[in-house]
Amino acid sequence: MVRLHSSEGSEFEVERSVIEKSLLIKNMLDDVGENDAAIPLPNVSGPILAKVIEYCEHHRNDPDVDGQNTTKPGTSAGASSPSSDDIDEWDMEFCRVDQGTLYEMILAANYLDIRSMLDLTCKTVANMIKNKSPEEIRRTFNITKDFTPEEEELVRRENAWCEDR
Amino acid sequence: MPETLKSYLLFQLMRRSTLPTVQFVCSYTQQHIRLDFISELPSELALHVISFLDVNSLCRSAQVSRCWRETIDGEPSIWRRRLLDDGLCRTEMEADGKLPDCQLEDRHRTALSPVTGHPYKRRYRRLYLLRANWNSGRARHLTFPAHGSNVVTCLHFDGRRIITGSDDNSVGVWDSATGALLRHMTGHEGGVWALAVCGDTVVSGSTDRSIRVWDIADGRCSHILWGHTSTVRCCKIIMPRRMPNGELCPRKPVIITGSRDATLRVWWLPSPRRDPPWMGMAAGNGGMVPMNLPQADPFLLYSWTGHTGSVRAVDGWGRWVVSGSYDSTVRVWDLLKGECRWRLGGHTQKVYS
Repeated sequence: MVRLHSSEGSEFEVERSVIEKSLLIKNMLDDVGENDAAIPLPNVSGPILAKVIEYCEHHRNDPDVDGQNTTKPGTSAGASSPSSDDIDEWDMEFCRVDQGTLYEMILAANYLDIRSMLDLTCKTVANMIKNKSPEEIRRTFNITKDFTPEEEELVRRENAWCEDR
Repeated sequence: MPETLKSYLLFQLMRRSTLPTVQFVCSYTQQHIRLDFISELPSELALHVISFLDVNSLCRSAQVSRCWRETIDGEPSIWRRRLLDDGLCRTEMEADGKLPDCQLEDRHRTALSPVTGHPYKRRYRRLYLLRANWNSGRARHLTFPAHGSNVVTCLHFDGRRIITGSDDNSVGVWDSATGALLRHMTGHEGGVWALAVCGDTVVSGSTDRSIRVWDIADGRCSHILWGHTSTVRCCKIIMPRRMPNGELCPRKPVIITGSRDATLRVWWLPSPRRDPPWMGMAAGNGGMVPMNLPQADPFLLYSWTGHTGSVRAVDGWGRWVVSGSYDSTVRVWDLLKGECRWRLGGHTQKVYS
């Protein structure tokens, strides 16, 4: 078993094979070897760490698709074309949280280096953006429009080409 | 009050509240736990989110706010990825090939800073519209016989018309929408092998060693320029450009012609409507003979020698003219001084274009 300390100091115990989904922790354990000391995770709060563990528990038997092939986000990733439509039901339910929590989950998945969870959470945000008009997107994320009317018209024209004609 | 105590207090309060109160709290929190992911997330994570968007959503997202627009349009990898994933470019080389120049195209540069619209997005847009046009049947294939069984040797087109030169000695002007013949310009006594167009003025070079200037409006040949002693193989019109010192070079539009006689000639571009007609030669017994000329050719500016083989390609910008020849060299000429500036060797075979 591995002991983890969240940012506020709560302790979590989790099987090593489960938490090794996190490359950060896996590498840490590999480096440290047999050691009983708890791992401090100052960037992850208790509720978020609970979500992370829930995710890892559920996906413990998943084939390790990305293995060591962890492309950093931002750079173009692996071969498969990205699509946000392939989320299964459990994952979808797992991500049914408020936006603040989802935000924290993205940061945690990135920090702990859990590629599949990072993809899942980012796809969830992408799905919140998809098939919406700019105004609907603004409402979804509570964004204020900072374009002047002329600029808005300009930007609209700039992007009008991909609307169905 | 510590955060944990606050949460506990609220929890107990909610437990004791009626449904309307809980509903109110619910709608309040719904409104306030909203978060602008794209501007709040570290940029590499924001881009990771964006990488899952399709092109439609990308374009709409770019209209959300300044920050979203800069994030999406300012990031080449997003659009490059879409080019490849959406099958608009089959290879990375194709996607990276010579990118359109944004600077020239960006006509509406406004206070909206910084001007984005990365070349990859422009390329995406162009290929996307092209594909959409083909798929929706807006683009169609048009074939017309033009010069019959004779070879079309050179071709120019703009939005409205296609101008062709053929070895049947003529120049044709065609409507690009219908393929209808608008003008058929005859006069050359040999195949036409070179064309240049500027507005309604067409310049053609032929195996009959002459250069003819035509007005598309009436199809009339107004000027014939003589001098080359063999086929005129290439020609270009060079427009005046402002030099660093503020002067225009060339002062007026010029024609540069290259010929199988290994020379280049530079001519002032005659205006079919303003300059008096100039034929240079007249039809006489047994072909063209020099007319009894009162003065020298008013249009010839320079005659450049140096190449030792046929001049096959020519182009220029402002002061500089570049020519490629069958002698395997490229030469750079100076329009201001009227002389060859550099001779570029290295090719071991003929230079064609």
